[in-house]
Amino acid sequence: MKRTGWMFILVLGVLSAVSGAHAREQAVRVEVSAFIDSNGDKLMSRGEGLESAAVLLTVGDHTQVKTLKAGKAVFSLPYAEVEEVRVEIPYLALGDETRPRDGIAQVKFRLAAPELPVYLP
Amino acid sequence: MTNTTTFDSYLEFRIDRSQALTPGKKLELVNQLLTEARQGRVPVGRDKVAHLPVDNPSVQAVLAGEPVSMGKSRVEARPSGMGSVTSALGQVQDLSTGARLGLMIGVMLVFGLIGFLGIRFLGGASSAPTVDPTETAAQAASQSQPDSTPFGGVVLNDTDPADKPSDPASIQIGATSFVLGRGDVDDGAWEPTQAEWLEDTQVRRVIAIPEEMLEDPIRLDDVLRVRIRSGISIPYRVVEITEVQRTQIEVLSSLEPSLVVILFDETAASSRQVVIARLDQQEMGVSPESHAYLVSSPAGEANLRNAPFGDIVGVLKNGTVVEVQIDIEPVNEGGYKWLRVQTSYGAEGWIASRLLAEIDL
Repeated sequence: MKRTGWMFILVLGVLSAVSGAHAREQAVRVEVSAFIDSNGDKLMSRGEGLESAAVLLTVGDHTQVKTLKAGKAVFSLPYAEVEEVRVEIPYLALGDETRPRDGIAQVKFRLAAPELPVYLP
Repeated sequence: MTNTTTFDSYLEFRIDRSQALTPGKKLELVNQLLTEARQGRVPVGRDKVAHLPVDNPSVQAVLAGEPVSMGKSRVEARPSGMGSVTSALGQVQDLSTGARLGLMIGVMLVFGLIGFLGIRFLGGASSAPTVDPTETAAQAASQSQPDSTPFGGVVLNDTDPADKPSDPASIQIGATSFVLGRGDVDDGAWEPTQAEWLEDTQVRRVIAIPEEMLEDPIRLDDVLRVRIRSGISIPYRVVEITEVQRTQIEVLSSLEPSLVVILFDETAASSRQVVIARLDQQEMGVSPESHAYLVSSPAGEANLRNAPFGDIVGVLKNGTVVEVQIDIEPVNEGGYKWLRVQTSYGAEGWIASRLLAEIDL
């Protein structure tokens, strides 16, 4: 009985070490989307995604910069470093904070389309 | 503060701003200030200038040192020139305290009169003296523009300004800043009368400026600065200047951070000149991309060294994010390519490139 107990503890230890190592290696994706909702459907449709705007991702003291392409920027970080992430688009003075769930965090910035005149002033 | 000290502190500010450390450079700067003064730019604070309408006969009279009537009193402006200022100062030091006080009040009255004349006699928004409140010492220190850029004025605005932090407050074109009102569309028409930003245009910011108010023409590659209400200055570089039909409203939209300036006038012309400028990320201080990599070594960790193949200064576990310092050239040493990197906690050193993996998108 005593021997079985030690075996059980040993197996548990190995399993937790394996899962811990897996957790360290797993990367978290932070997916950022930014778009002008020209058709008002609240979704990023084709041709609505912003281009070339810099996006800043801050995790703790570490900051990464990506550039939006077709309205998207994707960051990848080691799991161990990600608790809460802050995403900013400095040009638009927009920012948001979120916590990743199941290895993914999604941040969406939706801008309403401005009302344009029918001719130039 | 007397006007002598105003000039001194302004000169000091300009010397700091242009880093004129040698006597030759300082002399050049003094000459430049004299030229600016002849054009009506008069210092009114350490980092502020007022524009005097020098074409006005009354102002010309004061500047020329002619007597000016102030009720029963007659006031004579001081003769101009640095030498006369110095000799006048010498004479002031010989006077008693009461006489100095009287003289100081007299000098202040004269310069107060100059300001008064500038405002009172010339009237009208375009000719009133303008002070540039946006030119603070801190901003001047951070400006990358050379000192040869003259100080311009501010074209004020009496329409409602925009109110959100990301909304534009003003646009600087050359030496002139235009304070922006908030424009809106009514029944499909946008009819600005002064410089305006079209509400809600955030990605491509749309600004209309009365063409007649533009002192200097805008050229390709010029940098136009939009200051937003949060206090950030956003630089745009001019990439296109073109004439478009007034119905071509597609120039008002873009998915890229950019700016369009429409130069309008009162005529019913069928076309308008528009200036298109793109956000200058480098000028804004935002690097377009980071160069982040993950440590990925078969051994599970990698050494951080003080030089290529140098002493070990740290050990980085697999999965650690490092930023490659792209401004430092990689070094080939011992069959490896070495990169200078920095970790998120600030440690710096060299690491073999084969132990790094690009972060997978």
